[in-house]
Amino acid sequence: MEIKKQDILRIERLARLTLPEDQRQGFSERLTKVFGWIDQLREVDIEGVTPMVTPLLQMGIQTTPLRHDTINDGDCLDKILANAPEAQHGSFTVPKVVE
Amino acid sequence: MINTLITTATGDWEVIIGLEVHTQVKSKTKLFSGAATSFAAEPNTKVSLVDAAMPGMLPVLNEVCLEQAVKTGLALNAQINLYSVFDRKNYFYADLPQGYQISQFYHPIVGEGYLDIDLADETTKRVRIERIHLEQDAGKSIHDVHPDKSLIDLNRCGTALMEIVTKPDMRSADEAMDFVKKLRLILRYLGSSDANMDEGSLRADVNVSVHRPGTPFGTRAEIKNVNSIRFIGQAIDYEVNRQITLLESGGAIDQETRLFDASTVTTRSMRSKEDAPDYRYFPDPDLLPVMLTQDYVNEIKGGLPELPGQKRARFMKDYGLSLYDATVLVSDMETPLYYEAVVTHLAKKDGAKMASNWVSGELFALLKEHNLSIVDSPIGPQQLAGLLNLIGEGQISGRTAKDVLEDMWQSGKEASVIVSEKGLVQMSDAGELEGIIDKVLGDNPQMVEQYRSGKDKLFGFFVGQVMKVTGGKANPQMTNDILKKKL
Amino acid sequence: MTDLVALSYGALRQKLLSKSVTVQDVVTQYVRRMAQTQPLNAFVTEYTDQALNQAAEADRRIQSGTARPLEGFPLAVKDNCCVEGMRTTASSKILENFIPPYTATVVKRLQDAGAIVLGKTNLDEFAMGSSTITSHFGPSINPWKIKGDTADLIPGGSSGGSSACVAGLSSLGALGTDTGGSIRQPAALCGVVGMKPTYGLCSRYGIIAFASSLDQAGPITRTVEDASLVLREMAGHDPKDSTSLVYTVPDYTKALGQSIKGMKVGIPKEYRPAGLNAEIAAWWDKTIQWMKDAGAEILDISLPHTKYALPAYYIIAPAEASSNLARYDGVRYGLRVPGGSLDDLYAKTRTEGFGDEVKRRILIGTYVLSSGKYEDYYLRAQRVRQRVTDDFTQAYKKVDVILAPTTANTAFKVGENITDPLAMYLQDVFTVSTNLAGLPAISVPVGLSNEGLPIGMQFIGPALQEERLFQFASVVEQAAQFKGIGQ
Repeated sequence: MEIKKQDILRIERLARLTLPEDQRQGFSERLTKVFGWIDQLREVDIEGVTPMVTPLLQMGIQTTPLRHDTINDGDCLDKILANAPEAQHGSFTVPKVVE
Repeated sequence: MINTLITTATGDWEVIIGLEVHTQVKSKTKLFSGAATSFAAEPNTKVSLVDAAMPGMLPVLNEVCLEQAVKTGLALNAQINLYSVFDRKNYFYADLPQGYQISQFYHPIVGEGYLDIDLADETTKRVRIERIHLEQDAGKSIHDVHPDKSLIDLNRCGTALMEIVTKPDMRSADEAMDFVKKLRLILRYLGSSDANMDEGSLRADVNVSVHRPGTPFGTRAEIKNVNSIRFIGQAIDYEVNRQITLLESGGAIDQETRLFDASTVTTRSMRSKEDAPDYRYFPDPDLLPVMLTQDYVNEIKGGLPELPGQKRARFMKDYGLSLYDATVLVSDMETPLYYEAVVTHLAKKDGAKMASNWVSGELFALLKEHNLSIVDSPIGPQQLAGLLNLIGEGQISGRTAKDVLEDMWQSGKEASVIVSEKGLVQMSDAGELEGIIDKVLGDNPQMVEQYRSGKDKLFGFFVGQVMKVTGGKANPQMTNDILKKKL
Repeated sequence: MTDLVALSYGALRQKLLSKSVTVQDVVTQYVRRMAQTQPLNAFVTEYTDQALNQAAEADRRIQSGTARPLEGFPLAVKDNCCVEGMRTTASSKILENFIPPYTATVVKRLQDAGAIVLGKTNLDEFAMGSSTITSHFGPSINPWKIKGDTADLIPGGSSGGSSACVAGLSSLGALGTDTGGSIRQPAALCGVVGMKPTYGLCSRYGIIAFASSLDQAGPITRTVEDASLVLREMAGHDPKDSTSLVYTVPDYTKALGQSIKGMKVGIPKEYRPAGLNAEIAAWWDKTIQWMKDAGAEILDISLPHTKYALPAYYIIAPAEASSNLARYDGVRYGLRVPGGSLDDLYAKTRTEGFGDEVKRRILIGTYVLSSGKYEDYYLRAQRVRQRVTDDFTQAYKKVDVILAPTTANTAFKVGENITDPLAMYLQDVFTVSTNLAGLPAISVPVGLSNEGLPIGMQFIGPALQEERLFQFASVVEQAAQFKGIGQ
């Protein structure tokens, strides 16, 4: 299946990434090749097989562990903001968002 | 059957409404982190490294949030799914640190159920629930502090929400508002959510379409994030009008997402279907599926509190209340507790009906006048029962009791103390009353004449005169009886 | 003083406890060696001063007789494992200045056991690669050279810095992470031992996620015993990671040197493709012979879905990565490239912050999860993953362990980059199945190619059979008598 340049543009937008215009064609060809190879998966009989989203189910772990509803985290503003590229009034800042 | 069709010059229109109600789950900590769920806090202080999506941080599910969702599902007569899965809903936004919201898209925790709402003609209408799922709330962007920047506060980020999705079963703004009111009441009875719209802990996306009766449903518009019951009504009314006007002028409805603007009471287009985001849902590999046992569900079911509908039915049966009276009493959490405490202290159990009238009549009026809630009432249930017992025993009249109630409110004294201090005990001695009545009739011969010649209305005049002479203490029933006999 | 950097921890510990050398002596030698091996570019950031301070503390503990299990163990930590106060970059520009205020559980456990962190090691950006070429900080260099050639070779990847420093004697051991072979492949190419544990044995908390359902941290060391010592300390349940197994970690050292007589070793025919490097095939046969000599039974087995593991991996890993890497948006930490709007800021930051390979994988992952592709790609791949896993389940009904080469080739030259994406992805062909199935595997150096480059063989075991893997690995280690650099 061919991955077209417009597909590339769409996923760039979804992923908030911008490829240089002169790379898009090459990338679309590359992806077409990769997905051509990936398409061999269609040979596998997967009738009735449940998608395996984690190896743990295989090990008999069936359910996600639960946490008690006890406050034991938060109140660490310093840590939260320590790496912020920009912060004001105890908050992260971004260019003004207009709805 | 209430007619919900809208009739215009061109004929009838039917309105179809479905709701997606987002309500904050009541829990001490967030859905996947141990940070407190708190609104009134300095920015970013109720935030853990997990909530801020620091690299390498992982979610762990809060057991209380899970239980609250199951409780809510059970209260809405819904299927509890023993297998559910948390998915990632991927999109970029300033107040969504992970770049995805953890939600339940493919396998929600609660399946189909229903909620019956009361219509104005005392019939009920069933609104079907499609699903309920758990998801993370986002943080908050603050736009009004800085001229060209938005500030991001993550305190709310990661708090658990339940999204309660209905089928398109509502046919008017009133039905939609009634649904949300009843849902909110149930959530409060359950303690699964404060469902407080003022704090934004209950918001709704409203799906509205119109069509000619007997034809397929129209194209719907989704109005996002409406955050009060009144606004839900306004948004629907506006949207219905807009759609009908558009259709009648030959236009077509776009399937789109709209925003409600409370200041102008209008909705406006936010994005069309073509621009609908591609959320790329997939199961969150940081979490396993949630597997519940039937025993777990049964245990929660066994521990459910009495819900408003059940309580109302019991009040009607046990206390002989009308549907209306019982509905008024159960319409919040505290009033039924107060009411039943009053009933417990009544000397005669047949006074329950009177107690209902006094609670939702006189007491509510005083509370409203002083802007107090019933839990802050200076007159406790036992005290109110004391007053009602005096009426029941014939010691004071209802008229007098109203004054005594005011006095109790002011002074904090017991009804019996006020009655005896002020000598308000009702005159119930037949001989004494007869003497007074004889005198009243004797003093007003012309009136007696007129009454006897058919002017029935004058009866009230004689009662009034008796009350005037006795300072309001004459037993009203006995006064009536003696007057009738003598006249 | 003997060359302390050449000793295994077992030998070193004897000297430390007998007080013939101090931890400060050891760390000083390692710090010197780190300086000498600077050209390997194994470390992104060195923390030698802190290491020396800790060495003094370790010596006090030894003096007071309270030495912990890994007291004074010089450790390098892959730079995708967060360590509080130590810059953690994932070898990406986007995290170039990120200093985590928390420590990954696996690192914390090793520090609590007495290990001393020398520095953070280089990797393929966000662990996406098999060569360490994609690092923002330049490639690491394999300490091995082709006989008679001075050209730099790649150390493999993504844990290339970790393998290079352990092989180059600038650390005693190192932490790596393995998503598709990223511990075993560089360990094989650098002639050291690399262990990828069962998924869920070691906590992922604090490790910068690549593909959450595949990532697993593990040790890279020069001896099997050292790997067993390190794994024992880093493994175990962590309540902060929902995918962490509740499991009592055994004393792995007890398995070392245990006889494998009568045990069954499976040889998968799918790992001997037509074009397999002849020398690697020969070393595989030699290793099989050692197994026979030790009394093990050799069985030919089939893992029929092996060829599909790689294409499935190249859907699943990018899909998870595309979501995991959404948090690098320039808002809360890491690189920010200013933009006129929020979306502009996101796109500029991510475009500049991520390298080409990471961008490619994010885009592939975004594509396979996008509307209309999810079912056909992502779900299909996860179903194939189950098939791959079922192959192993069937195999382990017949055999105790599976033996196969770790890599299809020996290390290639830096600059001799593979431009064909498929050829590059084939670097992972022998390793990804294990990750898909969540199984443990250990790579052990068995010998050198004619060119003088290390070759590794791997044992793959059933879930949580790390003990068995150490048992087999120690037999091979004994038979191979592999001499590392400086030995």
